Amino acid sequence: MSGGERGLVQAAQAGDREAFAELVRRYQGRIYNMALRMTANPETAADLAQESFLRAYAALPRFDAAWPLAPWLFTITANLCRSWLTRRRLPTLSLDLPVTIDGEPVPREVPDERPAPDQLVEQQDLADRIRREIAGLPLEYRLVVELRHFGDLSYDEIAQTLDIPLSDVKSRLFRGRRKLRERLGDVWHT
Amino acid sequence: MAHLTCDQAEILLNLRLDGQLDGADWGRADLGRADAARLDAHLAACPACQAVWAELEALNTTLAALPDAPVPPVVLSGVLARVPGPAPAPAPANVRPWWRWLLGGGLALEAAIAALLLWLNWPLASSFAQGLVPTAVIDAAGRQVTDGIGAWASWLGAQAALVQAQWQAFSAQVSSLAPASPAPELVVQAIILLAAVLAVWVAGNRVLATISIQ
Repeated sequence: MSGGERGLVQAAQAGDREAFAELVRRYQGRIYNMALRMTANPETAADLAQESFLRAYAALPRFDAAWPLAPWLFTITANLCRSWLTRRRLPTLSLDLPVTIDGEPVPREVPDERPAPDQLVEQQDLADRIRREIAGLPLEYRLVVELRHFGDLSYDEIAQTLDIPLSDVKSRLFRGRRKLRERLGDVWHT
Repeated sequence: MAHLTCDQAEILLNLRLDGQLDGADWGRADLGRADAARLDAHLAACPACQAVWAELEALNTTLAALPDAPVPPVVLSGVLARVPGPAPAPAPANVRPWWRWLLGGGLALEAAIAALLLWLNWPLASSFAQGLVPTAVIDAAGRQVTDGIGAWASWLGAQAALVQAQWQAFSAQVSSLAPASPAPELVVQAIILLAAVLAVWVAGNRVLATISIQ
């Protein structure tokens, strides 16, 4: 953590409201966008970002100012997003489970409801599409991709944040990237 | 050296993308170097895995270049609205300490008006002032005729008699007034005295109200 940021954290811990406001200003972009990529809903993302900062404020007296603030904030936000998505998520059929008819496995046919590339160009820019593709990943893959690519957390930090084994971090990241490559392939090949 | 499958190569490519393969500290440096060598050998002979690597690099670049969406102002304002603020400021600027009223123009002006009204009404006011400090009465031989309490009782009786006499005189004056005649001196004095009492009363209430605000 930079000296300036550490000073801000220590001042905020001492009750300096303006110091905490400055920390919010510094990190609100990353925290809000993380929540936006996780939920694909601007209003929900704003609510989750606010809640993340309020929880951070409440837990600030117990935070060690010698540690970097960003991973801690990402951890709070990631867990809030996961909790929110888990609560709100409707029961879905796993696409990873095999389909059987009379006990015989058959190929799963899933309609691709995503707009065609030319429609995407008309409807939204590339950034919006990428955000939507990230938000369309299965939750556990999404969390790992988010923390690795946007939170810049190491494998160990991701494992600690999500409380999962290191091997799960690697496998989820592998699968999440593979899905993103499949969905965004046309972006690089056109 | 065992050859890698494409799935194994893809796993190692992901590790390489995150800086976890080449030069990474695995505790066993030979393991990282061996995997890197096997991956390089596989890549050299596998166009499909070369394409996977190109896509992984492109994905990494695309995600890194993804611009942040603008943050709604409600994020900061909402947080600050729910974070406890600093200790409340002392007194608002528009409420002055009560003692400033004593020094300020408001009360002084009212006291001046009261003093002016009393001066204008001195003939009547002096009749009250004569008995303001009742004391024991000492006769010519130096003996105490009444004590202090007795003096107060005598003073109150005298005041009651005086008010009664003045009221009777006032009633007589009013009853004998002709419509065109000028206002009698007693009425003017009574009005001035009433105004003086009113001015003092207003000033006193202001002091009490100011103190209660504090």
